[in-house]
Amino acid sequence: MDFFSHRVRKKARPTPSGRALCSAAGSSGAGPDGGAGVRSGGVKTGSRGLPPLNRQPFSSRRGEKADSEGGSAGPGAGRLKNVALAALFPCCALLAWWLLGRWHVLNPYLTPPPGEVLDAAYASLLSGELARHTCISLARVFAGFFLTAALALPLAAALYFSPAMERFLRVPLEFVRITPPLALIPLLILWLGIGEGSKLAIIVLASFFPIFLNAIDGLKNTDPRLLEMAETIDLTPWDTFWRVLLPSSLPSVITGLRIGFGYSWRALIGAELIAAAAGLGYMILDAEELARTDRVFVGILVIGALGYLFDAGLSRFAAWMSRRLHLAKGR
Amino acid sequence: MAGVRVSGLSKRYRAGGRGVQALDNVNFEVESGSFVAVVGYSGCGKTTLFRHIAGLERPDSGSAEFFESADRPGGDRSGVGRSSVDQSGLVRPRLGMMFQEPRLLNWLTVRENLLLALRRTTLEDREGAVREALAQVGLGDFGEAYPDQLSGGMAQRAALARALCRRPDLLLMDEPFGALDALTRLQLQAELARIWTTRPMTVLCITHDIGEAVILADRVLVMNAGAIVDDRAIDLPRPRRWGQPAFESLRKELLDIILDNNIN
Repeated sequence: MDFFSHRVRKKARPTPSGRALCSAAGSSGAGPDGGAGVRSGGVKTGSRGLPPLNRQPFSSRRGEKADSEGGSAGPGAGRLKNVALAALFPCCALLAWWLLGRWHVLNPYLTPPPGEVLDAAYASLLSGELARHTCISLARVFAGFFLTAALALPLAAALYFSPAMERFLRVPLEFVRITPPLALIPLLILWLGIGEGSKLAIIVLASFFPIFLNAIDGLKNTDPRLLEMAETIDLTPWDTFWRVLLPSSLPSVITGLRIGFGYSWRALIGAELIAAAAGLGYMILDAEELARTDRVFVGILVIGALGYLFDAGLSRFAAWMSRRLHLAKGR
Repeated sequence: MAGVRVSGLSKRYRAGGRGVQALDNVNFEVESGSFVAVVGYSGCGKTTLFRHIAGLERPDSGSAEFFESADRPGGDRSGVGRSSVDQSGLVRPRLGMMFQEPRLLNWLTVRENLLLALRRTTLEDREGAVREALAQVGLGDFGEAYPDQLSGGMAQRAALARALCRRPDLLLMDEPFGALDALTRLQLQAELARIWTTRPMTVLCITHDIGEAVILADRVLVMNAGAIVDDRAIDLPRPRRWGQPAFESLRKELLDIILDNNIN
C-alpha cells in the first residue's frame, strides 16, 4: 500500500508461499543429494545451510539510534569513558562561552556570560516563575501527548485491519501529514482562541503522525509466519491481536511514541511563542520583550535539557521493556 | 482419528511473469493412523501441498478433505482430541502443525506458547497437557524458559510439543527438522518415531530427506513437478535403524526414483 510506503520496509523474509514459488521456478538447479542429508554414520553431506531466521535485535530497527546510550562498553572504565566523551562538548562550549565573554568578544547585552544566566536562573527559580512555566508546558505536552496516543494508536489498529478505511482516509491523512502544524496556528487561534485548545491541537497535529505511522508500520511488519501459526492454532482475531500483533509491534510503537514526544515538545514551545500567557515559550518571548537576554538563555537551556531528559528516559524505558518482555521477533 | 483425502488438487502460481504449475492434479489418501512422508526436490510442490492440506491456501481446483474413521486398535484417546464434524458435514480434525521454523512467540515462555495453542480447544486439563507434551519431547524443565534462551533444536522440540499438546488427530509437518544440524535431526527423528508409536495419530510429513522419510514413515509419496510420481509402502520393522541393509536399499531405491524423474 503506497500510502505508507515511506515507512513500510521490505518484509524481512518472503512468505512461505513466496518461497515455494521461487524455488519452484529454479528447481532444475537443485543438487542430486537433496534427500541424502545424513549418511548412516551420521556424517552430514548435503546440509542446507539456511541462515538463522529473523533475529534482528530491536535496537537495529529503523534509522533511530541504538537504544542503549552506553553501547557495548563494559560497566567499568569503558562506561566512564563514554560519559566523559559525551560531556566533553558541553563542557568545552561552556568554557568557550565563558572565555569569549570574559575577553569581551561577545556583546554581554546580546550574549550574557554564563554567570549572569546562572544568576537569572537562580532568581527565577527562587521566585517560582521558572517552575510555574515549566509545569504549565509539561502539563500541556503530557495532556496533548496522551490525547494523541489515544487517537493515533486505535486508528492505526483500525486502518491495519480495514483496507477500505485506509483507502477512505488516505487523502485527508496525507494532506494533514504534509501540512506543518505551525502553518495551522493562525487558523487554530481563530477557531479555538489562544487558550489551551489551540495548544493541544498543535501538539496533537505535531505528534500524531510519528506515533500513528510507526504503530501501523509495526503492525504491518509482524512476521507473517507467526500470523500463520496463529491461524493454525485457531486463535481468535482478538487473541491474535493481543498475543501476536501487539507484542510484535510494541518496539515500533514505543519508537513512535518517543519521536512523537520530541515533536510535541518542539511544537508546543513554538505555539507558546506565538500565543500564550504562560509556559516556557511564553517565558522566552516575554524575556525578549523586556530585553532580558539572560532569561531567554535560561528558557532555552531548560527546554533543551528537559527534552533531552525525557527522550533519554523514554529510550531507556523502551530498551528495558524490550528486554523484559523478550520482544525480539519470533523464531 | 482422521485421515486425509486429496483429490484432483491443482494450483498454479505466477512467478516472474510466467505460470508455475505448483500442483498438478494431485490425488492420494492418507489412512487414519498412518505415517506418510512426502519427498521430492525442493520446489516440487511439497510445501504448496502442505499449505493446501493445512488450509492456509485455496486450490485452483480439487480439494483436500479430512475423513473420520475408527480409532486404531489399542489406541486410547479418552475422548479428547476427537475430530468434530461441523454443520457443513465436513470433518474438522484437531490439527497439530509444525513448520520448518519453530514459530514460537518470543514474548511468551515455552509453557505459555503451548497454552496459547490450547486456548481454543476443549481440553480440560490444559496445564497437564502442556506438562505431558513438554516431558514427551524432553523439555520438562524448560517450561518457564523463553524461546530466545533455547537452542535451535530445543526450540524445534518446543514446537513439536506445541503440536502434540493439542492431542492432534492429524499432525502435519513441513520439513520439521530441515533447519537443524544433522545430529539434532537424528535425535528428533528417533523421538518422533517413538512418540508416534506410543500415541496414535495420523502424520503427514513433508521432507526433502529420503532417509528421514524411510526411517519414519509407513508410506512414502514421491513428488516431482507438482505431481505424485511414486507411492511406496515401507514395511520395515520398527524401531528402524540407519545402516540396516533393508533400510539402505529402500533409501537407494527411492533416491533413484527421484533422480530418474528429474531427468525426464
